[in-house]
Amino acid sequence: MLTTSKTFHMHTVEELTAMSLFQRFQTHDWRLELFTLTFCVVFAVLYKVGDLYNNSKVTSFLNGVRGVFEKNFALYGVGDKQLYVKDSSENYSSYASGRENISKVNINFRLAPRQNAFLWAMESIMSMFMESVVAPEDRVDIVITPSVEYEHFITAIVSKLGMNLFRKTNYYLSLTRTNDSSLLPESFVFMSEANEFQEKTFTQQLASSLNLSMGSFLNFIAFTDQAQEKPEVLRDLIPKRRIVISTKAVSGKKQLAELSEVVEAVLDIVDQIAAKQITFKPEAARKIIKAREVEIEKIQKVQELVKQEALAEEKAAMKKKEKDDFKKLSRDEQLKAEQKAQDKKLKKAQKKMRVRS
Amino acid sequence: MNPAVTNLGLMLIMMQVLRRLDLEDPDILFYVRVGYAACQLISFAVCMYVKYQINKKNDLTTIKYVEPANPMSGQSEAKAVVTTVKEYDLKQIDSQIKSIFTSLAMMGFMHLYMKYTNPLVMQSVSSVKSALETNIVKIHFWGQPAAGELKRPFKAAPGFLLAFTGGAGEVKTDKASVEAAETAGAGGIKED
Repeated sequence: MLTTSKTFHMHTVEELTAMSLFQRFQTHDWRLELFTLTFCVVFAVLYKVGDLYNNSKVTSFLNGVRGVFEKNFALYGVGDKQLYVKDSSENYSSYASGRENISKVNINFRLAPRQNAFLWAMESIMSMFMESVVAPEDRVDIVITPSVEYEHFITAIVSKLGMNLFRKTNYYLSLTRTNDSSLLPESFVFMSEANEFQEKTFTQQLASSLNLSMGSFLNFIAFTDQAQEKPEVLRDLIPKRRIVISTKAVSGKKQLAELSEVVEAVLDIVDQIAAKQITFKPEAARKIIKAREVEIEKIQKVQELVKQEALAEEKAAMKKKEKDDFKKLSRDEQLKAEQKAQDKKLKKAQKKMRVRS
Repeated sequence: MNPAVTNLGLMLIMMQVLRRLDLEDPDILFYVRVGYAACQLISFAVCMYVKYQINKKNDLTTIKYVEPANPMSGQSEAKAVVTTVKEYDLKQIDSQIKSIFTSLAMMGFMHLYMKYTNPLVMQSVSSVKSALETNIVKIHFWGQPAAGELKRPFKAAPGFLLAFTGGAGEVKTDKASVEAAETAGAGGIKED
């Protein structure tokens, strides 16, 4: 391609002036620039492809469960005929509202970072070697917030595949006891705070909506009032009733139909609670309150410890300052200060003596 | 027989073998290298077979136990683990596969960079032997019942470290400690 194998600086001034602009342009070695440019283009194309794939994943999921939501809710989607809001290429959210007993439903997507091929590859590889890195996965949380008042409790039906991970990433699940049940398909377990709640919320409809193979995509169905993240201050412990259906972002028609049935069953449970067809024993509720108090105490203890530490630190700082100030004084002043301190001590001692006598 | 004793015996035998081998001879060196690679491949194949068996059996029985606190890895409190037999076994075999690769990397450094050949001979047969002796391989490769010594969760092999900590690093499976740890609210670690 190059007219000469000489680079720009090898030419004499005469040769350069004789060349046309294009010829001079050709004397330079453009390989590095070409490489950089190709790299950028490839990255941009991969970004767009990953981004579009994630978009389509969200769309197909939301369309797959459209039936159950449109049947139950006045509004499905985020208005203006938009099905979802795209927060970033990994995070999408959708919404449903307008139904008796339910104040709102949030559908939160958290997809694998397909748009950033490097991040995606890195996370996938790191997850093989480090336990703290979770392999990127397409997750959807359907969070149903009921508008009816009922007891605070946590009970969940959790897939056995990865249940330890769910317990690790969800504070409310780590407050529950895990128990197998012959009522459930083999790939699921109950995690609940008390048997009472797990039995009452396990309706016939919910039972029939679950099957063995669903354990591979349905992570858990949880009735909870506690936060997902571990609380650090007392405010984090304020109960907030909701039902979380956590699942992988599947796109199969059969799987989405099965999921729709689960959503339907959960909505029915809320209706039954609202209609007082499901009521809980007061003893069970008392047990929960006790458990919550234990958690409150834990946080109070930590806060107390932090306060004490801060106090001790402050004291140490003050002492150090006093010492430094003392060092700064001249010899005479130091003596004077010492005398003063001595007098103070003496006076104090005398005062004590007087009080005693 | 106790694996520690047999390991020692094997080591002594391999040392005798080493004395009779002329590692300067490129032919012999080639065979030693092939032998080492073959042994690593065999251990890897055993692991993959076990992995296949675990997935095939797909045993979803729930197991619960309490993992001891490990201040070295930043885990200050004992932690309840709720898992299935399948998941537990997969974790075990994955860590075994990982150890094969770690030893490969070490050997690569020692042999290719530091030019030592002796460890190549010593590590070849013994790596296969130790790969065949782990609990998880005993269950799925040799078909031994998962009871007694092989009851999940596996106990740590008694060794120097265990004697040093007085058994504080043991996993616990008794009902009381599992239930206490299970509902302790240790979850909810922030991601990212």
